[in-house]
Amino acid sequence: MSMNNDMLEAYLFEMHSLLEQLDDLVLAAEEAHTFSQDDVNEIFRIMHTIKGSSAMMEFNSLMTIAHRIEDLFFVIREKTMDAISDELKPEMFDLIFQSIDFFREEIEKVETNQPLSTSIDTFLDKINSFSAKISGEAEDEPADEPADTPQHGSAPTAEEAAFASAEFPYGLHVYFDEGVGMENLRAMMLINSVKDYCEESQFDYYPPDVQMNPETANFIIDNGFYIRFRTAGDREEAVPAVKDNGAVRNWQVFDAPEASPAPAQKAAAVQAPVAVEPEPAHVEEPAPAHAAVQQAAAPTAAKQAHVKESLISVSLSKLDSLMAVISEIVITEAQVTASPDLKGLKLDNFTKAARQLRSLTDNLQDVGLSLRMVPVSATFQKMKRIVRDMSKKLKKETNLVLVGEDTEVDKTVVDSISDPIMHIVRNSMDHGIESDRAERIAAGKDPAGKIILSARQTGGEVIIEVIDDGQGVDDDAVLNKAIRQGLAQPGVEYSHKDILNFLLMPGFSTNTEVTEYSGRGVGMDVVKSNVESVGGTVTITSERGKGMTTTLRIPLNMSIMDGMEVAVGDSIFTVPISDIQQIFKVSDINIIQDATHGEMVKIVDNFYSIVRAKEFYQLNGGVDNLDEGVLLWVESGDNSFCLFVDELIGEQQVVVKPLPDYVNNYGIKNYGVSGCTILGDGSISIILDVATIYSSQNN
Amino acid sequence: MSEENGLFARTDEARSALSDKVQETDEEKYLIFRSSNILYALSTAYVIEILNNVSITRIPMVPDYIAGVINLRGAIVPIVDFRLLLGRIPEEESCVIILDILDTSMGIVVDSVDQMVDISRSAILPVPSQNEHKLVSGMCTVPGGVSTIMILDGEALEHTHE
Repeated sequence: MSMNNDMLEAYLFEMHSLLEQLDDLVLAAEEAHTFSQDDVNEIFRIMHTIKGSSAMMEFNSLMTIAHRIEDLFFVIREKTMDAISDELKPEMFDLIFQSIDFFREEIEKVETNQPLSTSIDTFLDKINSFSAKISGEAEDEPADEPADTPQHGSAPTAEEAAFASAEFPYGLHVYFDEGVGMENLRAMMLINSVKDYCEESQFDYYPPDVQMNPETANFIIDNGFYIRFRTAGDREEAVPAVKDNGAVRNWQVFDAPEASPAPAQKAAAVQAPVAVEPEPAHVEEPAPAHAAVQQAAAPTAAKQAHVKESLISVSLSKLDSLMAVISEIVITEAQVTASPDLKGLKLDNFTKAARQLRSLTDNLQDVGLSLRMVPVSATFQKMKRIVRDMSKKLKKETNLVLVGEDTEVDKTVVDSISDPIMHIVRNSMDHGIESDRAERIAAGKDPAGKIILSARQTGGEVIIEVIDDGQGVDDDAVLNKAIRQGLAQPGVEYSHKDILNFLLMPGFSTNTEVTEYSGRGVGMDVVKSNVESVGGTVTITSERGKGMTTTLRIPLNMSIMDGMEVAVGDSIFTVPISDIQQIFKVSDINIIQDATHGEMVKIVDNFYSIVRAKEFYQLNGGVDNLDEGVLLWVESGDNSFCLFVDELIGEQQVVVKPLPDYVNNYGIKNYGVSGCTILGDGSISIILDVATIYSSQNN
Repeated sequence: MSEENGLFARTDEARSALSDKVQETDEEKYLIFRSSNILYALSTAYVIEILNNVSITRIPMVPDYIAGVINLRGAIVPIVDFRLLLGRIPEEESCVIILDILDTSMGIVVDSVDQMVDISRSAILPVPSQNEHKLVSGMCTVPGGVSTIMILDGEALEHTHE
C-alpha cells in the first residue's frame, strides 16, 4: 500500500470515531426497538462516508460492504421504518452489528498491515437477502412513494436557477467520466485543487453541498458540475486544475449573461441572485423528491459538521510538553514573587500584579490539567456492547446500568483501565450471573441479571466498581481450585478475604470450561497488574448468592498532587495529603513499647506502629524526643501507621517529578522514595510513598 | 546536531564527533579540574556548564558518593561527589561540573576547575593499571607543563551505579 501515512492515519481516526458513533446509535436504537428517521439518516451518512473514504484508500472489502449497507438504508429511508415488520427488526440489528464487527476487523487488519478479506460474498449475500426481504415487503405498500418520479422531473428547473449568478458570472461546466463513481467526492476534490489557483471567496460551485449530500452525485451524473468565478481571470487560472483532474471527461466555459448550457437558463439567471445567494436556500433546492427526508437530514448534517469542527485531536506528547512548561511557570512564578530580594520592600503595585499573576497561573494549571482529562463514558459505553453480545450468546438476560459516566480521569488512566473493566464485566457475565433463570427466581431476584458499572471521584482517587447480582463467589470451589493450582496449602484455614485474593493471583480461572469470553487462564491477575501499573488497587468483595463487587481505586492524577511538606533534620519531605489521616502531637507517656523495641501509639481503638523518618532514612539531624516532633497518621491501601517527623512546613500543591534513573538505580524506591518535587523557592523535596515505607519497615 | 558533526560521526569514533572542528587536527579540547590535588581532564564534549554555590538536596539510602540532586532550571540532575567516588576526603572548596553523557545529565563535585587545554590524541598514554573505578582511560602531561593529568572516560562515569 503506497498511500502516505498522514492520509492513512486520518482515515483510521475517522473510521474509529464513525464506528463508535454507529455502535452507540445502534445500541440505543435496539433498546427502542426501532430506528428513528434521524437514525436512519445518520447511518446512511456514516455508511456513505465509510464507503467514500475506503474507496479513496482502495480498501475494497470495506467499500463494498459499506456500499451495500448504504443501499439498504437508502431503501429504509425511502420507505421508513414502518415498512419493516417487527419480526425482521432483530435480524436487522444483528446484521448491522455484524457489519460493525466486520468493519472493525478490517480496520484492525489495516492497522496491523495484514491483507484485507477477499471473501466477503457470504456476508454480502446476507445483506442482499435482507435487502430483498425489506424491498419485498415494501412492495406491498407502494402507496408510500407516489411522489417520487414526477418530482424528479421538475427538479431541474429549480436547479438551473443556480447555474450562474450575478455575483459569480464566469462559469465552468464539468462532466466526469461515466460510471466513475462518487461524483460528489470527486467534485469536492476538484474544488480543493481549484483552491490552489483561486481564493475560496472568489468562486462558488453547484451543487453546493457535494461534501455533505451524497444525492448530489446523481445530479452531477445527470447535469454535470458547475464552478463559477467572480472574474474571468480567475477562471482562466483555474482551468488547469480541471484539465489535470483525471476523472474529468470534458468541460466547457459558460458566462452568466449568455446562459449557455440551456435555453431555460435565461429565465433562471434573472432569478438567480434571489434564489441562489443565501447558503441555506441551496440545501432545499436539489431533489425536492425527498423533501421530507432532506429537511430532516440537513439540520443533523449541519450540526454534525459543526461539532466536528470544534474538536481537534492533539498528540499526547504535545500535551505532556505543555504540562511540563506550565509546571515550570507555576514554579517560576513562585520563585519570582517570593524572591528573597523583595524582603523588606514595600511594593504595592508589584504585590497587586503578583497576586494577579498568581491567580492566572493557577487558572492556567487547571486548564492544562483538564486537557488531559477525559470522561470514562467511552470506555463504559463499550461495555454495553459486550453485555449485549454476551447475554445473547450465553442466553443470560442481563441489563447493564452505568453510573457516573461523566467522571473524568487522566487519559493514560482511561487507557489502562479499559481492558481491566472489560475483563471484569466479562467475568461477571460468565461466572457471576446465573445461567438458569429459575435459579434467580428461586433466590428471589429479578429474572434478568443486573450489572452496575459505576465511577465516582473521591478526593485524590477515582473509584470504579463493577457490581453484579449473580451467584457470588463460592469460597469452597475457589479454595479447592487454589489448592489444585498450588496457590493454597491444603489443611490451612483461609479467611473469606484470603480466598477472594486467590482470584487475583496469576493463572487462576475457576470456570471448568474455557469459554469464548473469559477463562483463558489469563484473568483477574492481568486486571490487577494493569491497575497497579497506574498506581491503583483492586479489591473484590462477594457474598454467596448475592453477587460480587470488584472495586478499582485509581489515583486521579499522577503528575500534580497536594502534598504536606515536613522537615526531618535539614531534609524536606513531601507526604501526599490524600494519605494523611490525622496529624497530632504525642507525649512519651502515650507510647507503648513492644518487646522488639517497636513503638506504638493508640488512636481511637487501634494501635498503630510508629516509624521514625530520621531512623528509617538514617538521617543525621532531627528530633529524637517524640514530644518535640509531630506524628502523621498515614494510610495507604491496607497499610496504616504513624510517621514521626520534626515539624510541619505547610501544605502545597506540587508537581511530581521522577528522580533521575541514575539515583533510582540504587533501589531507593524500595524505601518509599518515589519521586521529588521542586518547591516554590527552587529547592527540592523528596516525595514519600507511605505504603512502601510500611512494607519496607516490616521486612 | 549539525550536518558537519554528522559527517564526523562516520569518519571518526562517535564520542569525539561531539567535539568541535579541532578534531581535524587530531586534537581535542579538555577541561582540567582538580580533585584531591590530582589533575583530571574530561573531554569538553561532555561538559555543559560549571556551577558554583549550588544547593544539593541529599537523597536518603544511597551511597555516600551520591551527593544528591539539584534543580537545574526545572530539571532534576543527579550529582556525584567525585572526591568520595575515588575514596578521597572532600575539601571545603568545591564546584559542580554539569555533564551530558550520552543524553543523560549528571553533575560531579570537584575541588576546583583549572583550565581548558587542547590535547593531541597521540599525547595520551595508556594507564599502567586499571584502577580508580576504571574511570581513567589515559594519562598525559600538561602541554608545556610538568604535571600529569588523568584523562577521564565520561561514559564510565555514567555507569558508576552499576
